[in-house]
Amino acid sequence: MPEDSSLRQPATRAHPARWRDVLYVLPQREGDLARLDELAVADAPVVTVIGKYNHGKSRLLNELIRRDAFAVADRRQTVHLAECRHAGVRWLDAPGLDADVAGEDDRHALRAVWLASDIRLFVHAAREGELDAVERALLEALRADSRRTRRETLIVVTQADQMEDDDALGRVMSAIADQVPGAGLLVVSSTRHRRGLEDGKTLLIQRSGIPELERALADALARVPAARAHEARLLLGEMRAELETVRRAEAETLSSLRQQQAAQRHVFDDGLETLLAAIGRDMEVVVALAGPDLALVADTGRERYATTAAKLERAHIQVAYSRACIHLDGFLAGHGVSGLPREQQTAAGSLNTVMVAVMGVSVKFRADLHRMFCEAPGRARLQAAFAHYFELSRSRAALRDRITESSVALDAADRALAALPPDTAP
Amino acid sequence: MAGVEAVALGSDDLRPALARLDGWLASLGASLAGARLSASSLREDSETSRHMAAVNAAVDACVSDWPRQREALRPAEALARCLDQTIVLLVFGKFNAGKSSLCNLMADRFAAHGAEVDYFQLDADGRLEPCDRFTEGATETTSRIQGVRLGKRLVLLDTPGLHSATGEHAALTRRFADCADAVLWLTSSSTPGQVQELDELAGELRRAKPLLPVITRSDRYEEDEIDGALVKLMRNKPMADRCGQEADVAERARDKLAALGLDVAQLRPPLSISVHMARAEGESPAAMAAAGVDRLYSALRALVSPAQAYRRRKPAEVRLRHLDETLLGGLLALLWPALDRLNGLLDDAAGQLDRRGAQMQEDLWRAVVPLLPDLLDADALARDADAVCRELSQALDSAFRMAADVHLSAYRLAPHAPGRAISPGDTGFEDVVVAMDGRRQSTCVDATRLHAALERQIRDEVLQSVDAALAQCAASIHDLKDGAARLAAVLETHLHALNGIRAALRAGGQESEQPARPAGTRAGGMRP
Repeated sequence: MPEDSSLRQPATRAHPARWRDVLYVLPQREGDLARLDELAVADAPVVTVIGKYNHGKSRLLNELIRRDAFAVADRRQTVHLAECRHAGVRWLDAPGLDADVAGEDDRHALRAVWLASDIRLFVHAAREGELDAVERALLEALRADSRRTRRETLIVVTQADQMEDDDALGRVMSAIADQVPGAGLLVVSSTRHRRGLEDGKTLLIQRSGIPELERALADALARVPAARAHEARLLLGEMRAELETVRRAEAETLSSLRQQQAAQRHVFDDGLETLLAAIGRDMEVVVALAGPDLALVADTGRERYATTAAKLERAHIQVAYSRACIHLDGFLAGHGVSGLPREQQTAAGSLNTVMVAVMGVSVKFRADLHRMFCEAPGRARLQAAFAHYFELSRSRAALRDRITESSVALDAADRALAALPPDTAP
Repeated sequence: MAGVEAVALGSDDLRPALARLDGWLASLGASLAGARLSASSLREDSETSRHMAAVNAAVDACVSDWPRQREALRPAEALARCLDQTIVLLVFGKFNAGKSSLCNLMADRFAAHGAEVDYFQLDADGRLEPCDRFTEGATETTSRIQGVRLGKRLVLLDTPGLHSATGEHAALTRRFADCADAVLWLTSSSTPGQVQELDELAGELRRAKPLLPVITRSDRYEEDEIDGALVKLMRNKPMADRCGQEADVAERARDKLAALGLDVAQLRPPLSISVHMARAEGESPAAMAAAGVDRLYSALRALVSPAQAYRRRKPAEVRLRHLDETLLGGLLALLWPALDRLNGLLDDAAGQLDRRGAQMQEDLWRAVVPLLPDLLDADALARDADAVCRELSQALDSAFRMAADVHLSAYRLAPHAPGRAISPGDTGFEDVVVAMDGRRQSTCVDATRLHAALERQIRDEVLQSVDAALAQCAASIHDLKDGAARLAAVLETHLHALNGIRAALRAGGQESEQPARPAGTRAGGMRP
C-alpha cells in the first residue's frame, strides 16, 4: 500500500457480489479489489493525465491524440473525468487538483489515477517553478505505487514556451530534479507542437518535446501487459497472505478456546468424581454402622430397641446425607454451576435449585443412599446429571458463544480464501 | 497615489477596551485556579486519574506560559506603534506568486512620483532595518519578513510563505501579520485562485480585514519560428481570459470565505496584472494601463476606507487576538479534547459499573461458598459456629479485596465497615438427640440449618458489600464529572465574554458587526 492509503480509496465500490466474502474479512482492501475488477475487464492500456488545474493537461492530451477531444481554456476547465480512445489507448483527463472548495474534483482525479490507470502523466507547468507540497505528496505516493505495482509515472513539465529562455527553464528543471531525485523529467510545449504542425515548422515540433514524450510513452505502453500481470499477481498474493494470517490467528484462537473448554470440563469431572467417591466411602460407613440387624435382638427388648435403633439410624443417615449435600453444594458453587441467587429466597435451604433438581426433595432411606452413592451406576447418574447443569451454567455458555464466534470468523476466512482466484487469473 | 497620501489617520480611544481585556485575563486566571480537578477516591495509576491529571497539567502548562507569550507579543506591538501612521497591506501568496516583483514595481512607481520609498526588514524584536529592494525569483528567496514604505501613508508587508513557515517562525510571522490593515492575496495566473491558501489567512480575515485577490503574471509568451530560430514575444493575457479568471477566482474565493464562516462582504473584486508587461516600454502610461496597474491603483484607493476601520482599533485588536488565539485558543485546543476524553472515560466507567459489580459478586460467591463444607466439618465436633463465622468473614474479606483489585482496580475503596461480618445469630450446630435407656443422648451433629443460614448470609454480604462499593465508585465518577463540567463552564463563560468584548470593540469603530467567530466554539462534542 502507498503511504497515504486514503489516496487509494476509489469513488466506486468493488464488485459487491464477486468479492463479498473477501470484503467481509478485508474491508480495507476494497480499493485493491476494485483495481482487480478493473484489470479483469481492461483491454486497452489506460493513460491518465494528472496535475493541478490550468497546468495544460487537456492541451497535452489533445497533442498526443492529434485532435481537440478535450476542452481547453485559460482557467479551470475539466471538472469531470473525460476520456477518449486513440491508437489503442484509453486517454483519461483527470480534473485538476485543488480546483474546487469541496474537493469533489480531487476525488474524481484520484479515482482516475488509482483505479483506472496503467500509466500516469504527472503534469506540472514550468512557470510555476518548483513543486509545491500537494504535488510532492501526490508524486511521492505515485512513485511508491510504481515501485510496488510497476504502474509507471512520467513527470512531464509543460508550457516550456512560457519560460523566458533556456536558462530560466534549466533553473526550474534542476529545482524540480532536486525535489524528486532519480526521476526522469520530460519537458514539453503543447503550443509549439500545435504551431509546428499547423505551419509545418520543424524546429517548433522538435523543440516541443512531444516526440520524446511519445517515445517514452511508447516504451512504457509496451511494458503495460507485463506490469498488469505483475500487479494482479501482487494484489492477489498480498491479499492471500493477509487472509492466511487472519485465518491462522483465528484458528489459534479457536483451538485455544476449545482447549480451555475441554480443560474446564476435565477439572469439573475429576473433582466431582473424587468428591462422589469420598461421599460414597463415608456413606458406606454410615450405612454399615446404622445398626444391627433387628432379627438378632431379643424379643423382650425388641420393640423398645427397634424404636431406638431406627431413630439412631435415621439420625445418622439424615446427617450423612445432609453433609453430602453440603459438600456437593460447595463444589457446584465453586464451578459456577449454582450462581449467586439474586432473588430473595423464602424457603430455607432451597438456595440451590440445581441440588433440588438432581437430588429431589424426598426423604432418603438407607437403600436409597446406598444406591446413590455407594454403587457405581448411582454415582455415574449423579455425575452425568451435574455435568448437564454445569454445561448450562452462565460461564460455560459464554465460552460456547465465544467458540461459535471464533468458528464463524474462521469459516469467513476460509470462504474469503476460496473466493480469491488463483494467482494467474485475476 | 495622492489620494492615499491625503488620508487623515485618527485613532479610537482604546483605553476602556484594553482595560476590559486585562480584567478578562485576570478573571480567567482566577477561575482556572478555582476549577482544578480532583478525585480522592480514584487510584492515581488509573486511566481516569491519569487523564484528570493531564487536564490539570494542560491548564498549568498554559497558564505558566502566559508571561512568556505576553513577552513574545512585544515585537508585534512595537511594530504596530512604529507603523502607527500608515496603512499596512499584507502581501500574501505562494513563493512563485510574484510578491517581490509587485512590491518592487509599486516602489518604483511611488519613487517616480517623488514619494520617499524605504525598503526594510524586521528583526526579531519588530524593529525595522533598512535593506535593498526585494530579490525576484522562481524559488523562495528570503525567510525574513520584509516590507517597503511607500510615501508617508502606505506600507507593503511581505511575509515569506506564511503557509510554508513552521513552528516558532510561523508564530512570529502570524503575529506581525496583526499589523496589517488589509490583505492582498497574490495568485499566479498559471493556476489562479488555489483557495486552500486562504486557510492560512483565516486568522487575518476574522479581524474583518478586507481581502483583495490579485491575479499576477497575467501574461504569456508568444513564439514563432522565424528563419530557423525561435522568436519570443511576451503579451498581456487577452481581456477575455483575464475576465474568465477573475470571475472564477471571485466565485471560488466567495465559496471559500463562506466555508470558513467569514463575511463574504470582505472580498473585493479580483483583478489581473502583469508586472512584466507594466515594465515594458519604459513603464509608459499605456503599458501600465494595459498591464492592469491602473486597476490596481483604483482597487487600492477603494481599500483605504475599510482598511482604516481596522487600523483605528489596531492596538486593542492585537491584544484581543493574543488573548483569543494564543491564550484562550491554546487552552481550548488542549482542554476541549482532554475534557472530552475524560468525560468519555467517565461515561464508560459509569456504564461498566453494573456489569463489573455483577461479575465481582459472582466471583466472590464462587470463591467463598466452596470453603463452607470443610469449615463446617472442622468445627462440628466442637460445635463452634463462631469459629466458622470468623473464618468465613476473613475469607470473604480477602476474596473481596482480590475481586476489587480485578474488577474495580481504578477505585480506592473505603475500608470494610466493621460489624458487618458473618455471625451465626441464633442458629448453630445442632445435636441430634435420641432417647436411649431412658436418657436423651446426643448421637451426632447436624449442620444443615447452620449451612443454609450461613449461605444466605454470604449471599447477603456479597450483594451488600459490592453494592456499597459500587455506590462509592459511582459517587467518585459523579464528582469528577461535576468538576469537569465546572471547568468547561469557566472556558465557555470566558469565550463568551471575549466575544462580547470583541463585538463592543468593533461596534465602537462604526464598522459593520462581525458575527461571533464560529471557530471559537467547538466542533461537536460535549457541551456542559
